[in-house]
Amino acid sequence: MSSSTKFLTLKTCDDKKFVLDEAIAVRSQTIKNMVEDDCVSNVIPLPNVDSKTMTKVIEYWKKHSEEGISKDMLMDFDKAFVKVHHSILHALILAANFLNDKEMLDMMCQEVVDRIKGKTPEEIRKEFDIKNDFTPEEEEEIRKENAWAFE
Amino acid sequence: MEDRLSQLPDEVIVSILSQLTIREAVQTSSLSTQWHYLWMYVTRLNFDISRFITWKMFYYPRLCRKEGMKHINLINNVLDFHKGAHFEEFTLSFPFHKHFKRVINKCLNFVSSKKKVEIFQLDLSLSKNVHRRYTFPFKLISSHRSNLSPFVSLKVLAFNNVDVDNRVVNFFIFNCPLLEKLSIHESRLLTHLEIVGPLCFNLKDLEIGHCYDLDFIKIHNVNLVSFKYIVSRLELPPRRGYGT
Repeated sequence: MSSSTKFLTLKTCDDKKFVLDEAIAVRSQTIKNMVEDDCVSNVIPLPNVDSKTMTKVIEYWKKHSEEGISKDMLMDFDKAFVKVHHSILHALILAANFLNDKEMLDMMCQEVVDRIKGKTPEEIRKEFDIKNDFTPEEEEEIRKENAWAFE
Repeated sequence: MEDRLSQLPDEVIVSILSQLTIREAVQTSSLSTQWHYLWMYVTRLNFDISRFITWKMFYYPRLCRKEGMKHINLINNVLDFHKGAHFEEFTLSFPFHKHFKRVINKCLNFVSSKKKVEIFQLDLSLSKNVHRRYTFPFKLISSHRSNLSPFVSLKVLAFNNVDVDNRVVNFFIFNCPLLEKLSIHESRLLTHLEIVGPLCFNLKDLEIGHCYDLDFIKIHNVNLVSFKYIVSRLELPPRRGYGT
C-alpha cells in the first residue's frame, strides 16, 4: 500500500464505525463532496444508513474497486448481489440514493424494474404488499382515464 | 411484510417507472392513491410502434394509416397527462401519413414546452412515403430564446425520414454544446452541412444517410470518433444533375 493512502472513518446510524480507504469511499458522491470541501474532521456520520446495509455497500464498493477484475466476474457478482429480499433491496436503494452512488443506485433500481416487469397491477400489489386504498369506483375511474393501458 | 416500495423517495420511484414501457408505467397508476400520479413524471417516453408495422403496411398507406390510428389515442392521452419537465429521452417512431401530421406536431410542441431533453429521436421511416413527407417546423425552435430551449441540453439527436432543412440543422449545431451523437437520414431539404469547431465540441458520432440533395459537407476541427456517410446506389433517385 502506498504511503499516500488515506483512510476515512464512516459512522452509521447505529453507531458502528467503518474504516475505509478514501479512494474507495469517494465512489459516494456525497462523501467525495465532503472530502473536497474539507468538511471531513475525523468521522463522517451517515445518519441514514445502518451498519448492516453499509456492510453490503462496502462489499460492493470493494469488489468494484478490485484491480484486474474481469467484466464477467463483476457481472456475476452484481447478479448475485441484487438477489436479496425486498427489505434489503429497499435499504440499499435508500443508501445508494443518500450516498449518491449513481452506478449502484441504477443497478438496484433495475432490479426493482425486473421485479415489476410483466406483472399485472394486482400481481405487483401482491409482490410488494402495496395496499389498494382506492374505492372500487375510483379505481374504475382511473382505469377509464387511460383505458388503452389496461386493455 | 410492509410496503417498502411505496416508501422510496418519489424521484427514485419515478426513475424506476421511467425504465418501464409506457403501458406498464401507466398501469401503476391503479396501484394506490400514492401511485396515481407518479407515472406522469417519467423521464423517458418512447413511442415506437415499429413492431406493429408489417411489410404490407409499409407499402400500403391505407393499412398504415389504420394501424397508426390505433396508437394515436395512446400518444394523445400520455401527452395530455404528462407533467414532468425533464426528459432523458423522447422518441417517436411512427409511420407518416397526412393524418398523423397533427399528432407529430403535438409531440414536437410538447417536447419544446419542456425544460430539458437529452435524447430526442424522430423516426418517420415506418412507411414508404415518397410523395408525402414531414417537414420539421423551424418555427418550433426559432420561437424560443435559444438559451431557454429544452434542446440546448441535447446529447443525442436523430432524424429519420424527416425533412430537416439547413436552418434546423444549423440551429442544433450552434446551440447544443453537449451534443455527442447526431444522425440524419433521408432528409430531402438538407443541402449544406458545416460543422466547424469549437462548435459541437463533444460531438463523437456523426451519421448522414441517404440525404441525396446534400451538396456540401465541411467538417473541421471537431473531435469525431466516428463519421458514417451512407448512400445506397439502389435507392438513388433521379436527381437534378450533380454539382461540379
